[in-house]
Amino acid sequence: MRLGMVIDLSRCIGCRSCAVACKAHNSQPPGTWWNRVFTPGASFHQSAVGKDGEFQMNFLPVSCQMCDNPPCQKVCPVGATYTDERGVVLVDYERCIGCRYCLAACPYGVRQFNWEDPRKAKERAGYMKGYDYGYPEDYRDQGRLVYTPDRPRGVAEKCTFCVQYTKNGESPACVRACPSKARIFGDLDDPRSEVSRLIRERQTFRLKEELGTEPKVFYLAPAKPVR
Amino acid sequence: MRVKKSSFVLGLGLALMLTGLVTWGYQIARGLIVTDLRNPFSWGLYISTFAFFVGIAAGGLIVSSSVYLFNIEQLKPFTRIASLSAFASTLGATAMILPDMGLP
Repeated sequence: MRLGMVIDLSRCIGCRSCAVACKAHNSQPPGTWWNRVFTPGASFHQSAVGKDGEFQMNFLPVSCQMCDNPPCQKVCPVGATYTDERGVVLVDYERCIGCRYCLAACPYGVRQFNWEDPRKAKERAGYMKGYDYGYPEDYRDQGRLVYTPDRPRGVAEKCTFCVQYTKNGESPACVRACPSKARIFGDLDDPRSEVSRLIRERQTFRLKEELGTEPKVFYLAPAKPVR
Repeated sequence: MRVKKSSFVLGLGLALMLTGLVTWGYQIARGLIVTDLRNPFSWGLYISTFAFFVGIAAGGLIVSSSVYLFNIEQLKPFTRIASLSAFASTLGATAMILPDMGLP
C-alpha cells in the first residue's frame, strides 16, 4: 500500500478551507501551518496575475509531498523521521532532538518547528478559558508517538496525512474539508483506485520533480478558462 | 595593591561565561523562540559558530601535523599553541551543539 493524493488544480478555488481544517484537526498552534494555499505569481493570495495581456488566477495547495525518496528522512541524525509501511513519512516526536536538519533539507519548506511550547502560543492567542482544538488523544504507530495534541517544545512536525484518521480508513481532514472536492486520496498501488486511474489517464505533474524526491502528491494542471 | 593582568583576563572570561550560562538558562526556560529564529530561517548564529570552531580546530591540527610531517625544526614551538587551540575549539564546537538543539 502506498498512500498518495491527487490535487485537481482546476477545481481548487483557493478558499484555504483545507489549511484551516488541517490546523484545527491537528491542533497546530498559531503561526504553524502544515498545509498552505498559494496563488502562484501573485504577491497577494486571491489576486489575479496578468500574463500575455490576459488575467489568470490559479491556486497551489502545498503540504508535505510524502516523497518516496524523502530528503528529510535521509538527513535525520536520530532516525526520528521514517516512512511507515503505507508510504507515509512520519516524525516520532519522542525521538526528535530538534536539530532542524530536516527543515533545511526539505525543498518544499513544509516542515514546521516548535520554537516554543504550543500551549503558550495558544494562550497568547487569547482563546476562551478551557477551549482547545484538535484530535484530543495521542496516536502511536507501533510505539512511535506520531501524533499528540500539543507537540513538545523543540521538535519538528509536518503533515502526517492525518495518520490518526487514515489508519482507520478515513480520509485526511483536508480531503474531507475541500468544498470543491479538489483533493482525491487513495492507494497508488491499487490500479483500480481513483488516484491511480487519474494519474494513468490524465496529465499530472509533481512539485520539483527534477530533484528526484519522487513525491506522492500529484497535481492535475489547471485548465480554467482565460478571461 | 597590584592586580595581575592574567587575573583580569580570567575575571573577564568568567563574567562572559556566567552571562552565557544565564542566557542559556533563559533559552532553556522559554524555548528557541528567544533566538528569533523562525521556520524560514531555521539555522542561525549557533550553527555558524559551530562551523567556525570546527574550522579553527581543523586548521590548528593541520599546522601542527604538517610541522611534524615535514620535520621543520624552527616551527616546532608553534605546534603546541596550534594543538592547544585546536583542542579548545573542539570543546567550543561541542558546546555550540547543545544550545542549537531544541531538545538537548
